[in-house]
Amino acid sequence: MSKLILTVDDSASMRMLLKATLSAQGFRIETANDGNHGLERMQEVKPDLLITDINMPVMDGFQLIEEVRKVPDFRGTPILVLSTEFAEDKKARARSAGATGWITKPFDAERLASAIRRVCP
Amino acid sequence: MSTENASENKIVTFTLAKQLFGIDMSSLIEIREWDEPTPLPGVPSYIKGVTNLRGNVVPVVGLAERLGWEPSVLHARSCILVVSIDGKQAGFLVDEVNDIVAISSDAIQPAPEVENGEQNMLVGLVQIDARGVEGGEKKQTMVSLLDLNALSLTRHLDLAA
Amino acid sequence: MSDFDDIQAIFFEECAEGLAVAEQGLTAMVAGDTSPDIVAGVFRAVHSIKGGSGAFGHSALLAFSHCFENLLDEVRAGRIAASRHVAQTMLSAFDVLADHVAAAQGQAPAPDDRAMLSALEEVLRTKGEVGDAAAAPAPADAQAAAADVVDDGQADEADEFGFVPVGVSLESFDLEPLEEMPQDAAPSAPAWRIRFAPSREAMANGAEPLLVVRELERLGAMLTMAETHNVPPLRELDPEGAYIAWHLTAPAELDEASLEECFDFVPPDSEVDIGRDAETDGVAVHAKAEDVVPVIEALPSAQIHPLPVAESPRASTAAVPVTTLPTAAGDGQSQTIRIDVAKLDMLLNLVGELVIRNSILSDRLAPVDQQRVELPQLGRLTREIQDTVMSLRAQPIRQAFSRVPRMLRDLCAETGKQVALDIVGEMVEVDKSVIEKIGDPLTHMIRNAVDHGIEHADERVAAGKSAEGMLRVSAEQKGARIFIQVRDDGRGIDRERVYAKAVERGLIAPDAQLTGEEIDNLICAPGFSTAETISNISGRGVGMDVVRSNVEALGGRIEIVSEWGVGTSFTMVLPLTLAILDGMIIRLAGQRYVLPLSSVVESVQPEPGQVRRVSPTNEVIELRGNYVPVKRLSDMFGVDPASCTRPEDSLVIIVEHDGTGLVGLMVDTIEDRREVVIKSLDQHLYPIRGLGGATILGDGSIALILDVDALVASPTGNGSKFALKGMAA
Repeated sequence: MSKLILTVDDSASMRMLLKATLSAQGFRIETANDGNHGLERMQEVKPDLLITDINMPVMDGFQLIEEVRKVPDFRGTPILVLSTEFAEDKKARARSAGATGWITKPFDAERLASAIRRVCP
Repeated sequence: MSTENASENKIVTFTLAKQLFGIDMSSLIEIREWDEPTPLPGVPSYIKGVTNLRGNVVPVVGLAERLGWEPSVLHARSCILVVSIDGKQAGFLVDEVNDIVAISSDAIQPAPEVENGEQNMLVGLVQIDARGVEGGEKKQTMVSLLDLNALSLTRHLDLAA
Repeated sequence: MSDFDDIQAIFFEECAEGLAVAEQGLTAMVAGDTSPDIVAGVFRAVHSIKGGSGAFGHSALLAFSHCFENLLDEVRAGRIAASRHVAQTMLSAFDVLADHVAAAQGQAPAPDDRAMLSALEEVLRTKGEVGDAAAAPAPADAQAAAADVVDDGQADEADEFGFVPVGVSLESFDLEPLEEMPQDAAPSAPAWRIRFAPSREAMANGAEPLLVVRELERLGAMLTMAETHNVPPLRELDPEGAYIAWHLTAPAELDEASLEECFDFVPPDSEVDIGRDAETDGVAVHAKAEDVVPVIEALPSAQIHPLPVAESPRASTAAVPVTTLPTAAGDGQSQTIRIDVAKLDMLLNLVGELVIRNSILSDRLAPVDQQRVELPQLGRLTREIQDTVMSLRAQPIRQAFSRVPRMLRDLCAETGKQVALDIVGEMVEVDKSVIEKIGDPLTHMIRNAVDHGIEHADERVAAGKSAEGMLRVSAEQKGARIFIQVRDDGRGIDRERVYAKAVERGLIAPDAQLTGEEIDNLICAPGFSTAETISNISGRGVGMDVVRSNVEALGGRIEIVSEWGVGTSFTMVLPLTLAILDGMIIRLAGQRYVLPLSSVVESVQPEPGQVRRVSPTNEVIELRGNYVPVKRLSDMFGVDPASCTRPEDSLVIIVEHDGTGLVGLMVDTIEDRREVVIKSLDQHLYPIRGLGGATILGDGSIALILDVDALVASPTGNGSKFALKGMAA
């Protein structure tokens, strides 16, 4: 059974691009378009991995990660941030919120896949 | 005629003022019985009015008059050819609808020269097999192919007196 | 790969939306409103554009938006104040950004952004202080930096902007600095020796150190040893703690970067040592990975039950997706959905049919429905459905106005004039087709206003006006009509010149007597426009006659009002097609027509002598001491008076129209008052003056809808030079 990944990004084109890229790598993908929606979807589909953007309206990536970690079921779920930003303080903040890793956009499909393999059993 | 001929078209033939005309079948939407249309004010006499075509208000044209002849005389077999010209629909009153015929586009001969100022309504002329009597020899008859685009009603016609 | 194109198309739509938000925000900032929400909104918009541009490979756009985003980030964080100068710079940068987006779509050549980039660099450098610092190095730096980023594209090394495509880890390792590895993977190069001691919290944040080991193994590494001395007795064991350190060797051919990459997501405080094993010259395997006895129980990983993947909602990938605009910039709550326009049209048609069928049914069943409960309920339900569906196609006209600010900025730059813009009524909803088709007419009218209407600053001041001209673009709904107006406070239409030009072009006789209004309308006559009005924007000759025919194709008309020295207004009056009309059904010579109820004031059954003839062509009706002109519908439509009711028995319906007040229309009878669905006539036929569409009545017959204003506005046969097109003279 292939892995299920939930991707959260407020840009529809980015969601679709990710979905196309990751599906081609053999993953199953669910999407959400902002933090709130993402939280709901987590509960609904219980993915093996969460990939989220940071800059989103309503609830940003940091908050989403914090909220997800509050849920006992998801304390061990790997979470990757996928963002164009790369400032150290942002990464540190993601880390303390509970993110497992950070990937900078633009991404290379192969390397994204290997990064996923590294966090997702 | 070879059915694999890539340039084969189907045309619908109809009679108007005792002549045989044809239009490209792909433009035909349906054939309706004649129904008195609702007249429009201040339009040329060949625009008979508008009619309700399944919820759309579609103009009805007296084709004979449009081509410059006497108005058609209505009778039992009169009907309206509803066609689509560039996405716009219109109904043309004809005397009788005849047949659907397959023709090959290289069989179309050019239409005769038009006089100055007149718009050419024809795409060309084509010979088809006439519907002969049983056992009779196959005759050929001439069909004038109408250029529907020339008959379009949506260009603002110049009505200046 | 066409999927990619489809996705990219959506990206460009998002860019358009983002640009709209950014423009709005930046305009507000220039005007002085620099609240955090606004700045954040602009930042997010540019950030999104930047993000996608990288993913879709538009390097020039990426480079520019990155630089722009830097400045926005500084402003957002409060490190640079959003002064007017800064805001103005950013607004100009926005224009370049928009050009880059257009270039990325292949709609225009890439803009030369060097000047803008150095302006942005300048602001970043001086923190927005306006000084004389225009150091020469700055432009060169910006240019070089931009060139670097442009060239790098998908390169892996970090460039000046720190752009690393993938896999940058969360914390810095305690590693020896990257050494230049010998390029030749000679067999004599020693193997790698790796020691990995995950920190106690290794399992936190969902990480799994064992996966790192697996990944290393996938690269070719092998476990050699495990340090187990830290493993506590079982009862003290924290299942989520890590106690074992692992030793591995890896083939010499591997480069250090790929080994390091495996440790990207390893938590801090972990110990990672990667080094060459100088002593061994082979791979010494101490133990196979499978032989390593797991000391720690399998961790209770989160209970993840993958649900069967639901079919994602069928989003249309058809070539014409429609976006319903999200509501005003600050509101992030609204959700939007993309709909295929064709499906929407189909739905609308079906709903229209529903209304008609319902009407027929009501007619047939009325005698039977004594209770009068079910039928009215059904009617109400149908009406609600129709209203809702209609509203789907209606969109705020704001879309059509979105290009105006930029257009005006360009025009001002081009002509050297100063013009302030006032947009009113953006949220007025009109049918989508209207939005699509008024773009060009709007452009032409604005162009005219700036080119010919508004004077240069000095001329204005000399005339006692403000140096800055005013252009007002407004939309208003009145009844079944939309009024879209472009108004300027310029010099007005020079009637003498217009008259002279019209004579010159043979449009009117040299001695023709025309009212001021008629002269103004000459502008729209075919053949009037000249090379003077060729527009840069549309690239083709801008005739007001083209504008007029565009508007008429929509079933509308143009009204021109001008006052010399004061200003000019062009108003497009458009019908709300696809709307429901509250109408009065009247009869004339056996035909039924619909009068919009909004125009009807009252109906009168005239007493003998109440209607009087005052000239061979004019009649009036005396109404409470006033005289209201009367027009016979039979005259207007060329209907044989013999087939109409005699005038003594006719009804006169007093209607109000925008032009000159009240007019009485003489008809046979009034049949009913009903709500009707407007069916467009000009879908299939050229526009006919005097008709605002048609409707299909309950019995399937057609009733023509009258356009009262057009019927009475243009004078009929009283010496006017303009024949009423489409109407019998």
